[in-house]
Amino acid sequence: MPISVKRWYMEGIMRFIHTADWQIGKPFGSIEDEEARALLRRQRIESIKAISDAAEAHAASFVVVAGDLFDSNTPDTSTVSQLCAAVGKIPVPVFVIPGNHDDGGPGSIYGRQFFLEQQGKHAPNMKILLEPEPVETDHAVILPAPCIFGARQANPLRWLYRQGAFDDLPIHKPRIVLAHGSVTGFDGTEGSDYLIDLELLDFDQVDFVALGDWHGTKKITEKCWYSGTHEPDRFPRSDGYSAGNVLLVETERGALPNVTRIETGRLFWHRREIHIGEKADVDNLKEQIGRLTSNRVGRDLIRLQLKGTVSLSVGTYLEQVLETVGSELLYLRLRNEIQIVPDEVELQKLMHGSDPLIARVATRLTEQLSASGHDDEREVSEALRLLYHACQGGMN
Amino acid sequence: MRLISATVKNYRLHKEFMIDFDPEMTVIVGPNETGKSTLIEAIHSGLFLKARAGGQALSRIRSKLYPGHPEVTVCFEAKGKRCEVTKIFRGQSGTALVKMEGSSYSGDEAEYILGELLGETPVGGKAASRLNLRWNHLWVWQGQGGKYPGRAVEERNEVLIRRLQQEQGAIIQQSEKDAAVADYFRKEYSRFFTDKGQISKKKGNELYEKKQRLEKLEALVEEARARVDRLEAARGEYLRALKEKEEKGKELEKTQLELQQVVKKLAECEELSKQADEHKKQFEELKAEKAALERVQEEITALKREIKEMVQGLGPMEKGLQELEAAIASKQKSLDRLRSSHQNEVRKRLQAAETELELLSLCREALRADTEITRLEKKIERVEDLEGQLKNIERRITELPKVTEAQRERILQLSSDIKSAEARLDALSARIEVSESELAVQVDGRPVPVGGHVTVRRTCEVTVGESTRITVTPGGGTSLEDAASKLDRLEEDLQGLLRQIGVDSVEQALSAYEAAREERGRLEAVKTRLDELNGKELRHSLESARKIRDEAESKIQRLSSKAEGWVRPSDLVEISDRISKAEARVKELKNEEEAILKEANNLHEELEADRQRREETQREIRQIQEALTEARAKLSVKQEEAGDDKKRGDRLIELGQQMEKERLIIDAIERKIAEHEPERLKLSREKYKKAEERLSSEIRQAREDMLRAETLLEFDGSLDPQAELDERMAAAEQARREYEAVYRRANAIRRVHELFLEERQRLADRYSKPLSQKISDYARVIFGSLSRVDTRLSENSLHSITLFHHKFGDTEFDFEALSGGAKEQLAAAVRLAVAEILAQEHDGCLPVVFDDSFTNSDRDRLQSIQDMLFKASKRGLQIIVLSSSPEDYGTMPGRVVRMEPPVVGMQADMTKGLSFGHSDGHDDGLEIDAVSAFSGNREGLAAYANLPQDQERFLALLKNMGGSSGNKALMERLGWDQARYEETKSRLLSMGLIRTGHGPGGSVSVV
Repeated sequence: MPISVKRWYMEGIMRFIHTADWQIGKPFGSIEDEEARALLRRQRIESIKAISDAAEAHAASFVVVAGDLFDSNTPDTSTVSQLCAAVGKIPVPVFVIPGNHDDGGPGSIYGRQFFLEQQGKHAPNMKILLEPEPVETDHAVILPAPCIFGARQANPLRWLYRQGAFDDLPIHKPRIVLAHGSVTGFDGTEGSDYLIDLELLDFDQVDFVALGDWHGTKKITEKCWYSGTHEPDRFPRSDGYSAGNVLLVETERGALPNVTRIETGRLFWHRREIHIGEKADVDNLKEQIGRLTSNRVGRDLIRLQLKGTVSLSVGTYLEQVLETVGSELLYLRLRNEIQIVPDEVELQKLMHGSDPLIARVATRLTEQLSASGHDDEREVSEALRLLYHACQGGMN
Repeated sequence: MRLISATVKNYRLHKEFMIDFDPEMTVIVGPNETGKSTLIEAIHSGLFLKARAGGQALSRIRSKLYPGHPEVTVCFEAKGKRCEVTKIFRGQSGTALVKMEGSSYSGDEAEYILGELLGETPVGGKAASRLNLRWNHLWVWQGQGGKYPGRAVEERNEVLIRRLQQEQGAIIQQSEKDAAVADYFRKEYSRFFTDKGQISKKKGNELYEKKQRLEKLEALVEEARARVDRLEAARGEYLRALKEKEEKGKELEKTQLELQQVVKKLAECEELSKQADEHKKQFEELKAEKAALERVQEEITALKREIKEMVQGLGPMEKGLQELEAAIASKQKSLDRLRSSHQNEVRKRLQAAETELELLSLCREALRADTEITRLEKKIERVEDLEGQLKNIERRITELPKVTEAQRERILQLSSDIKSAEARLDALSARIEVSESELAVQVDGRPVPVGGHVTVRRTCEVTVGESTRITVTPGGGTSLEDAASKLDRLEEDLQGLLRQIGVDSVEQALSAYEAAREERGRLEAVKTRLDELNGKELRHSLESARKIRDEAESKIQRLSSKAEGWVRPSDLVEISDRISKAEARVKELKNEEEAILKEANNLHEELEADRQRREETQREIRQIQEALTEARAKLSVKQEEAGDDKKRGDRLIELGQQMEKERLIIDAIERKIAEHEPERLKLSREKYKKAEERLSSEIRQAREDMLRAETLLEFDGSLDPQAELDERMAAAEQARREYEAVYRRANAIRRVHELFLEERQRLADRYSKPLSQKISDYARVIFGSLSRVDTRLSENSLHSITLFHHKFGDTEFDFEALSGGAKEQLAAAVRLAVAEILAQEHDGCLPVVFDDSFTNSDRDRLQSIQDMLFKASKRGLQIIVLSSSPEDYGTMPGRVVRMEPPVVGMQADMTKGLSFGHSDGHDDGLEIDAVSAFSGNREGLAAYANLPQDQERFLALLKNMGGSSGNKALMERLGWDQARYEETKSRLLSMGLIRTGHGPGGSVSVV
């Protein structure tokens, strides 16, 4: 819980919003549906409004974005314009460092004329910190560790390890380190190019380390946090993964910070792995998905992995259910690894029916299926399913 | 179904033709163009062409010879009923009528019933083009005999398979659902794949489209990736260049610093070197001064020595000169003396002697010329005499009449001719001689004295006295006259010639000629002598001689005046003597003169040499004196300039000391410079300069690289390449998943489809066997009892017909690999087998028509073919054979219909076909003596008639004997010999009509 505004005012505590990994312009290529893709992209910009609201509501002095403001260094112009417009609406200064996706250096978005124009026009409150040097604000000192192309694998924090790095800083203002990358000892971040070694940092000299790169909200130490992305952008890999937040940080020089999560995400990403064996499981699946989305329509994305072996009839039923189940979802990614194999009854029906040719073909297929180590197992079971389906009058 | 009879009217070339068919076998024979094929085609049309058919189908069958519409009536048995169908073809108003068991049907109903009865519906309208396909398994059209029969058979596969299945009894049959599902998979399969199993490129093939899409998307991914990679590379390149620029910049700074130091040191060296140069210059100046002074010293010494030497050399030279002068004077005196004595004495004497000699020679010359003149004058006198003679002779010749040689000849000729003419005239003329008369006798007025006579050559008058006149006429008539006139003419010519010459008589002329000739001879002689004397030359010589004498005389005159005491010699002897003396004297004097001149010359030369020497000596002395004066002047100048000897010596010592001092200073400076190692410094400077250049260029390059990379990094921002790559990759991945899903499904379908095909073939193979068996039955009659035919029948085709020919070691022959004849035979076997099977649907009988279908078969084979056809007829088929060669089918059992070329305009009843034998009542089969049916046509063919007849008897008897018998018993009953029995038996065996069995001597039984 944030401390009261009164205490903040009385005790000289300052507040700011810590956020990161907006990844504006992320293409969401793996989403097949173009409309859904467009919506996902748009939502990342729209959710900035929630940050703006939070900054205002909690009287934050500024906002820090710990890297990856853009998804790449080559966003298109309309994306740049929209972003600048959204940032411009935040009522306080916004300090940004480049991350691994939008790292500084040659070819960086932050050096582009168009960006600079748009920034000047729509977001004069946005400060891009490209140099590793202290930036003093009215209430705090920001120590940026920007990711710069060409300095990969190098620790952007290195400049703070120097003897006397903090010597000339004002002694009363809280010191906020702004960095982006993988923290050594925490392998949660995915394949980051930039490594941050916190052990070498003199934590007595800093009051908060605002980190970016990991898209879930994550506390590394009392003073050291990943805010996660403001709007979820992927299917969670673990239960503890919580994205779609920003952090309201209350800090003062020489004290532990008070960190509060504020939800800003608007979309829900789910990951489910379900085992199907019989018809009841299919019904259960339908119910589960219904529970996940509760009353929402068009705001949930589900990655559904189906496993197990079912009979031909259950397989057919499953197909029917899957056709209708996605209607309330924004997006359903189905990984159907179900093996459809005729059960005894079905086999009997096929192999010993009154149609000699069908019976022979079914028998041959069954033989092929049971032949050990058959490479085309899926193909054969598909063949059997198709045959069964055709015999059930599924020909058209 | 069995054809009974047919009538064809107004059908192409047929006005009207009626034919009865044998229930088992009918042979229609006739030459080409007799309408056999047309007849059989008309029957086919009667059965299968709708009466209302129009268009080409109708125009084709219309007769161009006869009015009226084509009309066909066919009578046949089908489904146990006797039917008669009559069709009149006239387009839309065509009529069809079917009579059956007392009922009549017409129009569409009639056509429908016909279709029901025949199993294949009649065609009309557009379908009329398919007319030939009706019953094309039974109807072997002309030219189709050797064609692969599979197509015709395939159309009847369904019935065929059904019949074969029924024959096989409990065979497994595919159900309708089987067929439907198999068909469904076949269709599904063909949606994805071609017949050859390739992915079909048809539009709408999901598999192909997905694959295409996947490939396209993958290409797009590569494209996008390349774009991103380019950007990434540009960033890397920018950084690299930046780093390079910085590193090189540092290096450059360092290099420049080093360079500055080197340059500074080099400047110091330069300064020192300048100082050293200054001192060196001073040193050189001192050195020069010293050298100059020393040179002056030397010069003065040399001059002094020179003067002394010159003064010493002058004395003897002046003495020598005086001696020379004396010698010259003496020699000059001697020479003068010599010259005066020569001129005064010797010269004068010599001249006098020479003058005398010349005078003497002139005298001699004058004397000799005189002698010559005298001689010449005498000779000239003689010449002048001869010349006078010559003139006389010439004058005489001129005075003579001129007679040429030719004129002389002519004169002689004329004289001779005259003489002969006179002689002749004399001979003819009369002689009047006056012998005695007192009176004056005159002849033609000329008196003839007594004793005189006159010769008269013409009539003349002789007068004697005054009164007597006698006319005398000489004889000879005109010849006298002629002779007289000739003579006259000759005389006239002669006289003319003489006149021309200018003489009076021949004698004159001749003597003139002779005289002239003589004179001319004299003239020649004189001329010759004159020529010998050569007067002209003589006169010329005389002239010269006189001139020589005159000249000599004048010279003598001139010279003698100068010579004192000169006495002219009188004669030549004296002259010669005096000349000799004078010559000797001249010679002597000349020698004397020469000796004096020689001496003078010698003296002169010596004198000249002495004078030369004198001049040389004088010059030398002058030169030495001049040099001496100059040297003395120089010496005084030098001494004046350089001061005296003492002063010069002091200065030289001083100069040596100063030079040593400068040298020491120079050494010190040069040592200092050497300590700096200027060469090394220069090398370093070069090195650093080069490094500076290189680094600058590298930095420039790095800057350019940075700029280039920056340019690459700039883009318009209309789209995000990274996002594009992500999206494309995802799209490609999606496409791949979709493709794989479709691919799996397509392959599953293929799998099911192929299994259906395999299983169905397995079923089909079961009824292919009985079909192959049946075909083999027929084929063996032709190809031998051990041959067999294999064929594979499936739902929609008759796969391969293969003949295993025992003759060739059971070799396998595909239908198409067979010869033309074998194809015809094998195709016929297939058709017969199929017809036999299908006949079961048609009361056990179907007609099979062969229209000239064995044209490629050998004559030898025709017998076997007939056996095969006979066998088919025995198995219930109605065989109809059309042939243009009747002898080929001479031995065929059954009815023979012979066709003649139709005659236009004949009465209908007269064109009725000639048909032989019976038309019905053939049901009791074997009891019929088939041969009787051919009686009208078989004469002359009897030798071939035995076999079928024998076979009939063989079979009939065997049947009567209960279907089987021992060989011996049967042969005895037939009353045949062994050969005839065995021959017939083997034929029947090959036709499959009997089979052999066991028992003593073997047995046979009916199949």
